[in-house]
Amino acid sequence: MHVSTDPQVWIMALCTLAVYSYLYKENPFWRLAEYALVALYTSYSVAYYWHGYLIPRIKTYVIERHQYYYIVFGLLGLLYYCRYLPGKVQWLARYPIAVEVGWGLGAVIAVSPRSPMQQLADSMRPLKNVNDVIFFLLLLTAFMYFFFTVGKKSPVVSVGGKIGRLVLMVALGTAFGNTIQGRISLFLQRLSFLLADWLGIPIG
Amino acid sequence: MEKLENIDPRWVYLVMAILLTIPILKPVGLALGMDEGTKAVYNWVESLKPGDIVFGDVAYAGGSDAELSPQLSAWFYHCMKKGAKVVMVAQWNTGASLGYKVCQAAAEKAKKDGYSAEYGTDWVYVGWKAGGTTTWRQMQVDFWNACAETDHLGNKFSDLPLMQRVKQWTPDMPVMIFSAGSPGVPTYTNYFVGWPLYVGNVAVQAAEIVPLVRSGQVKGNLLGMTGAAQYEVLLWGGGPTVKKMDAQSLGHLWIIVLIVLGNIGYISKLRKKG
Repeated sequence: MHVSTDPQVWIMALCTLAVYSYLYKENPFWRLAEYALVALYTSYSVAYYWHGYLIPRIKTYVIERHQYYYIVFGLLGLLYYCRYLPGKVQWLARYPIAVEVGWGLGAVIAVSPRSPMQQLADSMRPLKNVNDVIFFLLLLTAFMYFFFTVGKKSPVVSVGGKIGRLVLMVALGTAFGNTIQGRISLFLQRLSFLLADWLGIPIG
Repeated sequence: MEKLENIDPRWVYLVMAILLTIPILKPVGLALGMDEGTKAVYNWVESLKPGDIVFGDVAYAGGSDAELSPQLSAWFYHCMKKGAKVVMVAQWNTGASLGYKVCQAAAEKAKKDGYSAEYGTDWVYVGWKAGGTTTWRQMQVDFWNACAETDHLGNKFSDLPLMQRVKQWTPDMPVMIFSAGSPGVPTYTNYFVGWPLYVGNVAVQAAEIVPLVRSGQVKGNLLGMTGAAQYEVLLWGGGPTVKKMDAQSLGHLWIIVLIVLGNIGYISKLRKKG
């Protein structure tokens, strides 16, 4: 067992323990870790945007290639910050929002139905084997659960809806099981780090 | 019996921690199944010829490191082993540097094992580019322009030999998306119709991705840590993630026990009420 002497590993280990201390109860160590994470994520994003996006674009397109329309749209984007200025000019912030919403809506409407339609088409399979028949019947019952207009008046829809509820519960149970798997994965990674990288205990 | 419904969560966490620690220190070696989705991803990379260009997308951040980084590492190594050329993009800015480190470590490992994994020639990490789906759509038309002609490290595309072959992102360049949420897979199912899509996703997303696989929109998928472990088995016969799967199984067993206990407590309470 060789405990790490690397300060970076120690900081990571102490932060991990501070985060998990929340499971016992809320405490100052947890708060410190939480605030540090939020601040780091924000500052990282700003710095990355600046060096990875803004500066290369200005250098390549505006300075080297003289494509000055980038400045026009850059200025339009800056109008977002008018929200923080006195009331008289705050309305200017609506222009970049208008452009973004207008473009965004058009783009979404143009392509969005495609993906769900493909899944819808896939649901209507030829009933060639038992699996396909079961799939089709359960799909119908799941739909029946959402027939609120007919409801209990029709025995078919009523019984089908009850079966459909069970189908939905199975689907949600699957999602729950997978969520547990994800959460355990996170803990296992931190556990491996604490045992092997920090405390130097050989694992596996 | 009714107390079973209200167990102090701290006891639950403590037992869980103990149950997970034991198999980590001493794995039992429980059997690991093999998903069709994992096989599909593996077979696709196996079918690649030296020089083929593939894309990878880091659409996750630190919160999904445990599940997706082992997937990325194994997949990237496999691509280097097959001589494929990999271009990495990142839809999540918060995960871009993390993804780069994972690729760098996998490339070093591939080099040690005798495979060519030179930066600029065998792989390039373009990283995150702002603009969301607009930028990704533009990558199909003019990849260089969409990316401001620079990679994650600030290198000019003109100085990177591999990028001379990637002026556009065409449908003969499949993509493996490592996705933890949004933006993620929908960027490709909506805007990259015709491109072969493969997904490495967090376990929570399974219910969203499986229908896409069944409908043929996604060709194959790795599911959480299990997917990474299965890929390691196919690639190396075992690996660091495989060793953690015993703990996964015990953790799930504990959750099942808790669900049963909670239901016993609930039913007891109902009976008492009459």
